[in-house]
Amino acid sequence: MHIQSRPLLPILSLLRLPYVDSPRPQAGFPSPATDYVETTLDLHDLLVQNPIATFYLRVQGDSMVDALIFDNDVLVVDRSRKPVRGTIVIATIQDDLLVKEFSFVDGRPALVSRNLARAKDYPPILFNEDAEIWGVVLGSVRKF
Amino acid sequence: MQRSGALFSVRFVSSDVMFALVDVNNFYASCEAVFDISLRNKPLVVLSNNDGCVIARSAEAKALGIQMTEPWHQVRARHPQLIHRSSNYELYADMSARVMTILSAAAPSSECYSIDEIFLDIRNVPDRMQLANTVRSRVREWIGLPVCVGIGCTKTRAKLANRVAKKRPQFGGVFDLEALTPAELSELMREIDVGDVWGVGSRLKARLEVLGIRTALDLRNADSEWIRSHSSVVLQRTAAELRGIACIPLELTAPVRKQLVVSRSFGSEVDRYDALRESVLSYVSRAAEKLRTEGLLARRMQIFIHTNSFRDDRAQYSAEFSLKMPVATDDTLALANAAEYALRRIFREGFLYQKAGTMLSELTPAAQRQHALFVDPTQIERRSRLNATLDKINQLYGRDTVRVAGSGVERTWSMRRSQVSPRYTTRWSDLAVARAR
Repeated sequence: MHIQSRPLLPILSLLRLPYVDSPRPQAGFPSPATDYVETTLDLHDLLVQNPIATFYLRVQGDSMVDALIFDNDVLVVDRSRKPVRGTIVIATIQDDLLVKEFSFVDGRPALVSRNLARAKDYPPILFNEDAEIWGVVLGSVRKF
Repeated sequence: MQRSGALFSVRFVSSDVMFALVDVNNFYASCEAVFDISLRNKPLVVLSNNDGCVIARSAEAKALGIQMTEPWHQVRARHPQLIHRSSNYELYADMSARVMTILSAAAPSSECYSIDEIFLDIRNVPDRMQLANTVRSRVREWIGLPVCVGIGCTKTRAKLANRVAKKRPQFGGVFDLEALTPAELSELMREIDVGDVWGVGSRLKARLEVLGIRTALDLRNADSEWIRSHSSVVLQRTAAELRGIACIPLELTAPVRKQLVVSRSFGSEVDRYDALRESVLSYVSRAAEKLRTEGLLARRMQIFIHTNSFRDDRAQYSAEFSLKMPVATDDTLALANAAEYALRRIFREGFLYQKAGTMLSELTPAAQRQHALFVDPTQIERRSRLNATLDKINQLYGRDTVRVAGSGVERTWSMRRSQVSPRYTTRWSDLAVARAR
């Protein structure tokens, strides 16, 4: 049995160096696999492009279900990316962080929901001056 | 310009060095507002350990006249509606590491001066203002934190410039002292209180005022020898730095040592918690002693224990627990406390343990201990005297003559932080909420 300590600061993994397992020097014939050593796959690499600017947020609500973003999902948010039309973004509206699709309504920038079934409950929010794009959503993580 | 005497025979501005001091505005308060939008543009204070006193203020809280280190109970009596947060070390450390990564990449060499300040060596940067504006917008965009940049040909001048950038919003957060004409520079220094010069504390300020030195300009223009005879070489150096003679080099922050390990295999295997605890505490004491000998502080500590993996006829167990100290420390008692906590987390009954040990990492030179805002400085001093005494006795009478008995001392991990915000960036359970509403 081996209990791994919980890393208290993920920043350590965030700043880690690429890990290459150097095989121990052996007296006998060198392993033919030595040149093929690779890093084990890590989901972090799949989801995160710029670790310094990446933050995770927890979803609350169902206004984005058609974009496959569900209640309690963990969003991977990259603050270094710029949104274009159709990008899923985090925006600050009043005192909240909202997850919405960045779009245009009548030629004006707006935040729209993606839930056809409840479209009436989630009208588009026009982008006014106190709204701000907090970051761009790169992915959503969900455990079954 | 009042330049006179042999004092200014030295070159006024040495063009071969140039520094930028970048720091985060109201760092702790700003970190809180990145994730809690409701805190933006509101008066907010962040409190020290055990919610004792104010250690950070938002711009709006500063405007209310709330001072640094004011006791919280007094502030609260005056402003019952004031929003406050206990200090969230986990969040600030993570945000700091992100900011420092961005900033240190902006220059070939740099010195992390504190949790939210960094000196950059920008001598070879062709366009200083452009660099300053770039790092400013990058930290703002990527991390969500506002920074100010001060540029000067000495560290003391860069500090001064940073202060101007922060206090005078008309400069847009960037101020280059070396872009001023000599007349403008003198005028600026005349407006800056001598107590606000880097390295001049409040006690020294009082002494200097008696001697007629009230402003940065007075100090810059004072005769160098006169300063030394009336004060110290240190102040003489500060004055030279104000004149543009770089005396304080960048202290590159690469630690001498990356980690420190003390571990032993036991002569005979142990199964009782008490016995294991005793060994672990003695390894930790030894490690702390080594830290002090080498002038280092540790931020992270790991405790590990394992059974004899060659005895496959027996039940095997191996575990480690790593924790981050609230501040980097070389204090035997603080480390011993943390070690006991760690050991309690990983100890399992029914195994024969063969080896235990500790690894200290994230080491920094003790000389850099400064953002002790979280901790009462008098306590640190008392503790370091206690530790020095401990070392002396053990040197004289042999190892472990005086040693840690165990529990009963303060527990840094269970201090009062009644209004602490979630650990947004370091715990999955604490993520900020994105509303899909």
